[in-house]
Amino acid sequence: MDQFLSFTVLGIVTGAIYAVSASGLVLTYATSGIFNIAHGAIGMFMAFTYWELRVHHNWPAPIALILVVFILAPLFGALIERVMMRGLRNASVATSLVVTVGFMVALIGLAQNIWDPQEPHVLQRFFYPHKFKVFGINVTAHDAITIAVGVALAVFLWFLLNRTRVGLAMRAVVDDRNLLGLNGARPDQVSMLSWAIGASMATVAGILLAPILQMDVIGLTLLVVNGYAAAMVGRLRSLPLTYLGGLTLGLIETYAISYLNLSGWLIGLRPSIPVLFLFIALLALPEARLRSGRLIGASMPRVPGPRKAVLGGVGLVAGAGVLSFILSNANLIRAGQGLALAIIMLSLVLLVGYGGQVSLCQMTFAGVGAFMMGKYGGDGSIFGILLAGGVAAVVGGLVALPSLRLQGLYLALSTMAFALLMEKMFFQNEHIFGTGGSLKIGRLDIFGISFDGERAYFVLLAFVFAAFGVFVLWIRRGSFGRVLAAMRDSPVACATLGLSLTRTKLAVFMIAAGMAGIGGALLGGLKTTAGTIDFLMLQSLPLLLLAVIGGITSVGGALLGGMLFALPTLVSWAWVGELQFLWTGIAAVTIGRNPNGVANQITERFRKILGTSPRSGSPTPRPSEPVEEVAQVATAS
Amino acid sequence: MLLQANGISVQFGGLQALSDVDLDVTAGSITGLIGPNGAGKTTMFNVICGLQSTTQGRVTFEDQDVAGLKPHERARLGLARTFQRLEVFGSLSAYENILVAAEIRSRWSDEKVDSKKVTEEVLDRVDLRRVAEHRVDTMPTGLARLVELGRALACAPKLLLLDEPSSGLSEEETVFFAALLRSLTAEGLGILMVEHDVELVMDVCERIHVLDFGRKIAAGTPPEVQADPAVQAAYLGAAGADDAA
Repeated sequence: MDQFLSFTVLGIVTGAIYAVSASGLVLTYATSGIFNIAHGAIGMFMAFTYWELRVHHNWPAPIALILVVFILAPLFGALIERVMMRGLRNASVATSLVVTVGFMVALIGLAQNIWDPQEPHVLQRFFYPHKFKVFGINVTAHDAITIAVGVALAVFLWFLLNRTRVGLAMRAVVDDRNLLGLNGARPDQVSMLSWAIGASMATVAGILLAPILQMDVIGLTLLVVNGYAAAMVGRLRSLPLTYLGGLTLGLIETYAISYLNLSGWLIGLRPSIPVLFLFIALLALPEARLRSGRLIGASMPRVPGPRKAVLGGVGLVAGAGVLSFILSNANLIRAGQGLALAIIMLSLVLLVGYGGQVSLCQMTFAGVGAFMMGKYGGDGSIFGILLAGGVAAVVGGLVALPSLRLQGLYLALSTMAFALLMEKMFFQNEHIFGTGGSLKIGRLDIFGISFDGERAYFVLLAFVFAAFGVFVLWIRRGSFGRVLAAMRDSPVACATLGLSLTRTKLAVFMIAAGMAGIGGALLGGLKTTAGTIDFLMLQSLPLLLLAVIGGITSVGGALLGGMLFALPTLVSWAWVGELQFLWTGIAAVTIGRNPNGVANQITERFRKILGTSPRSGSPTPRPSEPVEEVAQVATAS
Repeated sequence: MLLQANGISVQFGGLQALSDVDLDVTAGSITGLIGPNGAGKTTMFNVICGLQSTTQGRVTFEDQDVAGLKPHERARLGLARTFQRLEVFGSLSAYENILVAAEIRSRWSDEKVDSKKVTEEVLDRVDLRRVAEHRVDTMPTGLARLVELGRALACAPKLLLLDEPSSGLSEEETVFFAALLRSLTAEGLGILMVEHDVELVMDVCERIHVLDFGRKIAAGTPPEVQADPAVQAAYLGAAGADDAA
């Protein structure tokens, strides 16, 4: 019984931290409409800042705490709102997700460069090793402080929102921002205050959690997923339900760790409990109601005709052929990696660029493809590639089917949850990639033509990219491409024309997953192995960001995105490679508002230099305009 | 009867948006649904096409109860609509907007649909040929409304729900629009129209339902509705109604 009570206290402690983190997330979302994927990264960064002051510079804890929690964190939160989030207010979910994911990746990169991950960073529990007994159970001072802080913050939030003028304004800004402004309040300042409080709460959660777990950049950042799960219980609105969700998750997780003794295939279940909780919370959400009233006019680059597309593809393969004689074998592998990733990014062009559906698990599908190729592709048979694409497509369908009732943000989060689930349950399972953590993958051999050499494989990758590029453009020009564009612009109008949104989304998800699967199999073939750490959820994020930077609405954008990945290693700019998370994140934050990316800007520059303007009568391209509301007509009845 | 809605009630939290509203539309006629702002007209449209669930009431289309049918399933029965706040496909041209609607129809319809032929016919019908290749998010509201109408027509509907279709139209476009509506009903199409342009409503509608604060306060022919004191009170206030009387 004592043991059960000890675990319960532990569960409440963990749950209180999740609740604090999740409440900050809900507060910022409710007052700005932007889901801050980087919430955990803010907590992580501030926890490290606290470590820097407290441990590295030996500041007294109270002073370091006051400076970090009450001054630096709120200033950071307010700055984020002012510089980054305010401009995203009317942006599409896809755009705001890309920007916040970019910010998260940038913070991870920055933290890893300031605080070397190879060096240990230890943060001691508060008043360690003090403990005391309550009903015969040992409770550490840190645990007691955590519970007290959780309760105090719950009371503070309740008081703030229900008993103060500013709290009233915070609740009002959710309902009608413009109306609040007309009534003399300052909605922008209200949002800024919410972000300041939200950042402080993320910081408190980070500082309380860091000693319990470890000072680990990725670990602390991803703990926000547990916060997401709690926030989903409160449906991103209700703070009491969010608190309840946090406590429930903390208890379930602790009981599972303490009492569940799993082995074999189920060994990954225990660490997956928060993700499973998130997945179930998301699936339990009611079906999203289609809403009218937002006109999204996504600017799209010009779509090349079939002849141009094929000529471009032939040019790419020819260029790759020439390059294969110039580059060294090591560089062919590096550049080939860029091409393989570009193939995976092409799947994002179809899914995100054309269809407007955000996926944060494309590397997971690539991993499924690599696994199928390694396990059943023999020594590089074409059957393995087909199986890679087919099985990835089926997996894509299986994950998409229950989630497709959801829209925008929730759909993106469910793909993130799926990626994490696969990471823990599948890729890190010793039955998948073997005990050594890697699986041998053969290079393709088609009807006796071997692509075993570096040169041949590089040209093959260029050929596959070109073929998929022509395929994607063929889809874009055709009926299905128009339907995707229509669904992205106005799902509600599509539904009232008789289109089944679920079937259409399912189709595009499956095609994109299949493409990513083939890309993964080819990537595995390039490296000749695939391992447990090759297909992590965190790798799907830079993939999406680089595709956005290149231009998620064009084939050229995917190619550029892939090359941006390979470039630092190709030109031996080691420092660029080391800072890849940082520059990718910063670039995504700045370019993420323009879905057509750098590739389209380069094309338009060339077009201007060459003096070729769009054909008269063709749709007017507006390449630099972000996806956002462009018109709202009339008032509600 | 093409469409029948009986005892429709909708509640948003503490707000009763619709309360026990009855409404019907016959084939080959234009029915008006009018009322001051906030009367519940768009909510009624959303109920009919399945975008809004009801707390009470029943909607039948061609004598079939449509309860439980999703918006796309109702559309496949022959229900099409336009929106008060434009819901055009902004990144596509006017031609593509109509073409995509015809193509969507060809996916679910049992009939063989020649999407391009349908699109050409509709473009001429709504007089959009001159701007067919223009992106819709660059168009003035009046033209964009015609694109929405053309898109709905490409679905070959039996009932067309038009939500403030003349908003943003010039006087000339409104005259063309009224003639177009008449020609559509002459072919057997039923139209239910929410409209603030009282002149247009009185001109084209055979029957009008009036909502106020979620309740139906009157129904009848245009002259009957115009003479109704409750309607005058709703639009002009009680004092105004007395003056009008």
